[in-house]
Amino acid sequence: MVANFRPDALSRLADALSEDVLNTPAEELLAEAAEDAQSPRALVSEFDANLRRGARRASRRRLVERLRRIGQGFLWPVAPLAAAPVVAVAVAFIAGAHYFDGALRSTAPVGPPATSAVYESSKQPAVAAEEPKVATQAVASAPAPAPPSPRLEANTQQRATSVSPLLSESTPANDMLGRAAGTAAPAPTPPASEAESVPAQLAIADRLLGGTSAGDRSQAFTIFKRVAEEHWNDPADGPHAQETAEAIVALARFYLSGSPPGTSTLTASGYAETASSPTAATARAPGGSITRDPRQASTLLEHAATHFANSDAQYELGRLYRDGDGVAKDPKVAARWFAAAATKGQSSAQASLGIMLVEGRGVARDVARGLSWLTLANKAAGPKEPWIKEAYAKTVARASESDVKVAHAYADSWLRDHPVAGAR
Amino acid sequence: MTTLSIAAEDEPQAARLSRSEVIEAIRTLTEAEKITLLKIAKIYSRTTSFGHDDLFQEAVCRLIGGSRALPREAPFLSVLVGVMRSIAWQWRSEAHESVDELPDPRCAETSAIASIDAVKTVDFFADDPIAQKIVVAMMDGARGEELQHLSGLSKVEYETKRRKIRRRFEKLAD
Repeated sequence: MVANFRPDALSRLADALSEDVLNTPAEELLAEAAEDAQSPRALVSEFDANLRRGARRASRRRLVERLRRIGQGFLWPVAPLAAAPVVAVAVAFIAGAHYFDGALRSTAPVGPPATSAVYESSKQPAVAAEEPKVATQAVASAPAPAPPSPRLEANTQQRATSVSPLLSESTPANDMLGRAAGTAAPAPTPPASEAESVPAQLAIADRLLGGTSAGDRSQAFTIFKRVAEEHWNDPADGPHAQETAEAIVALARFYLSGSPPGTSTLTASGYAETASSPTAATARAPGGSITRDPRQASTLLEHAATHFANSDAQYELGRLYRDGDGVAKDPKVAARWFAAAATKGQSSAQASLGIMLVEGRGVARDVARGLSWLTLANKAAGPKEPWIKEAYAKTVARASESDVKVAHAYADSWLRDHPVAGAR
Repeated sequence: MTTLSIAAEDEPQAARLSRSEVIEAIRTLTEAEKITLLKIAKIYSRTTSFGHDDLFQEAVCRLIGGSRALPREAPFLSVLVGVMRSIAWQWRSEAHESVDELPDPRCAETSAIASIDAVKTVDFFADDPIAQKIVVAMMDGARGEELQHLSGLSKVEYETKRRKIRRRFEKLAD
């Protein structure tokens, strides 16, 4: 019998019963309170006492946080020598964090996705020591930046060498290109003259992607690769930054597809989210005899997601972490990348983040917030994203009336605050 | 293992109420609303190993501390309930999030523990088979008319039965 219940069975029961409480008329609640505690006043007093304690808890937490900051500042003048190694580490840390923050920064006027949400809670012992069970939230609100992940550090080092992985002779990119050109129709690379702008090259590549032959797609690949190579180290605010990021994302999608020729339905508009279709990878092959290489895709996406802060790359990277495709499965990191892209108005990321919040997967379960992201995604979703509309409809059908109200309030307000991202 | 909390600034949110506004809003709730919140705190705390006082105080703390935004347009009560529910979920064994990723033995173990809790709760209604049936259906996510249909009761009978279930569960949580 034990195995017959879902792990969240009690939570679902609590959801249903709390809805009942919310729908119970006030006079009935007062009568029940009188029945339980002789007088409703007794329960109200209990409420007020808890309110005072909750407020004190918030004050204590603020005080601890202030003391922690003061303590950090006090260390500097008192022990400069002893602090030297700490400073050295801090400089390295800040450099890494700066890279990380820069990578995750949004062009929209919102905070870094990084979501301060940072999950390395064990690195905040001060708060944890005071109230261990709320450490997660305390850390989530703490301003301290998280150190870059090992993968990001590796990425930083990679940047330091100023060499795109595509430039190496032995990279899978080159291997793949060779195989693609070798096995598909001969694919003469369109020459890129000085006059041929990056947007023009990408327009050609997009058109080729819409073609039906493997040769077209091989040519598209070649163009994306060339753009990526030539502009790999362009500054993030450079004139071709976003085009370069798009080219890198397109390349990564080639690596994610990796399937035999003739199965492609890829269009210039890119790939549809496949949350509800795990087999869709085979339906979006770019053509040519391409070996699927999600690890290579993740490397490319990480560069586009961090250096160029490209929202499509951040979303695709989130999917890789969510599914454990080419990287170690990590729902928390996935949620973090989805949040990064979602705040920029990337509708697939908004929907994916919403689903994770509704299901409590990788993030603390929060139906109203999850539904708010799904609402935003649903408004922005195009006809090629039916999965978003399905996910939204399914969630709304199961959500309580109050959750729907809260979600819409969140979503409406977000749209007001982020008109540009919301209009994407 | 901890769950990730998406930072408040990254989420869709209305303009926040200030700290003093939040305190004032909670303080000036009606008696019935305060009782509603306490009852719901009791219900959700039953899904954790902590008391309802702790759960409610933590929700207040997060709202006052600003780590959870309080949208102006949203129904205040609903937001507070949502915060408590979220905290309860967080406090509950957090490996739930990956139960689909079996065969991670840790997940299997957590899942089993959660199921044992559910079994105990269902057993509590053993003297009332119809109530038990409704509780099991609720645990499976059934709602509204679907539940009434499953119970085989008329609308009035069903409402009465559901109220009894809620009252019994509240006492169980005391």
